[in-house]
Amino acid sequence: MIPSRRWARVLFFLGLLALWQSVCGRGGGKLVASPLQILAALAALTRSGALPAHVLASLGRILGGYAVAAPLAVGLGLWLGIDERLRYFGEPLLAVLRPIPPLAWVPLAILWFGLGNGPAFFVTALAAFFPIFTNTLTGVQNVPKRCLDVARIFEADDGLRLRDVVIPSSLPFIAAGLRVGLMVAWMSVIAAEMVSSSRGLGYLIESSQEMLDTPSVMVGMIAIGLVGVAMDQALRRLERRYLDWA
Amino acid sequence: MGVTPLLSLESVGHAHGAGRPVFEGLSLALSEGEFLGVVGASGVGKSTLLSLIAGLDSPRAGRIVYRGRPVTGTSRDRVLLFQDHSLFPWLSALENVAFPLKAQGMGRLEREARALKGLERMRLGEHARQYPHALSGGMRQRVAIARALAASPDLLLLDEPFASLDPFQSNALQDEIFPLLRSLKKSLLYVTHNMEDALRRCDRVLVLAGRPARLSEEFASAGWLSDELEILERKRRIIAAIGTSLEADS
Repeated sequence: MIPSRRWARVLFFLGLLALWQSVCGRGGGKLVASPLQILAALAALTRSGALPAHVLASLGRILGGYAVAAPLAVGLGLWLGIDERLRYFGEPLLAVLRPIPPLAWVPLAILWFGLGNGPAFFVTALAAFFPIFTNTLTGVQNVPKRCLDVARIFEADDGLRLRDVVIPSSLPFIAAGLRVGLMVAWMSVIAAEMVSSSRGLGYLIESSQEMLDTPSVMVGMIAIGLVGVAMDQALRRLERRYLDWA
Repeated sequence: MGVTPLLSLESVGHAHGAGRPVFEGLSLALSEGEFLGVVGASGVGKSTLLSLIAGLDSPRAGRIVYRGRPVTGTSRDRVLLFQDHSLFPWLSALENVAFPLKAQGMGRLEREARALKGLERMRLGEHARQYPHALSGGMRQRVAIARALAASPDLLLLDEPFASLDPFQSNALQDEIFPLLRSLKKSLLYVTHNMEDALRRCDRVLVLAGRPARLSEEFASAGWLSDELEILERKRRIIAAIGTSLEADS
């Protein structure tokens, strides 16, 4: 971006903050906190160590759930993509499970795993699973026929065809699925924490709301947004690095 | 040229799905070391014909015989070169050329060395590590040719591989490739809608025309034609053959 446009963007956001501050007034309200109140709450929560602890708790859950969901979803997506018989039996079942919102599983998850980390892990993994799985399956089904023909002409065996043709061709789809899955998982873990946890950004928002501490609620919300952007950027970097051919 | 055909088509018929037949009673023979051209209008079934010979599809009727055996599937001895280079975009030029060798189970060092030699023969040695998207159209087609040759096929099936290039690039590449294939003693089946290319580059040219398509006329040549008047006369006859079949079809 050219410097003048960057400055214009900074000025735009500063103007927006000034407008927000002036609308909320000096004292602010219980409905929406002013930027200065949020800044004060942010400083207090950071100084006390509460905010980093909640962020780390949420990150731990999402990374745990994601680490389970991502390989499982990619593996199953590839398998269903190349095995027509498995797809015939598996697809209807997954088609029914897919529209169920991850949060609808929370009551069952609490029943199965009790309160604490278990339900949040489970819901995160479930939330991440379907976008990654669906994209992987779509990727495999969209491998250009011409590429498969070339592999056939050179008599590539199944392993080479999978390794050198199907997987690389599906990678842009898988990468998009991984990014969407991460975002859905991130949103779901926050929601799950609101219901079934005593740590994490979701819990911070829920508990602050009970105390009518609107600035802390908004600190939690902003932290969710910033961590989400950071995770998305990290995946985009990986994508740019490993998909430089695309 | 040998007497026993390397490839023969015996009354081959084909249709896409339940549709109208594309071919009917198609017969031809290609000798070892021969360059055979097949010309025809767009959509007449030239690519389908090569697909069948490559073993990517099976004919509905008749049979295709290669080296005395019916064609039942693909073989790296009969390599099809597509119009749109069909390189794997996720592999570098070197990896693309090494792919057939990898499929043969050759070790990494050996296949990379051989692939590099193949690229150098195409004057692309310094572009070995580049992805196809970073290469020009002509360079991509050269990589595709190097990849095809890496499989050491006896028969090359060319599906208008020069059609996507501009006339200058196309001519330059053909001037380079055809003598190379002659020197390597490859046999060639070259389908194209460019009559002049076929007449200049091939030993024999067949006209595929009609619907269902048949081989309607054959032009034999002792070698490459250099007489411009003769080429013009043959082009006129090919156009007449194709034109007659188009009129009959409509």
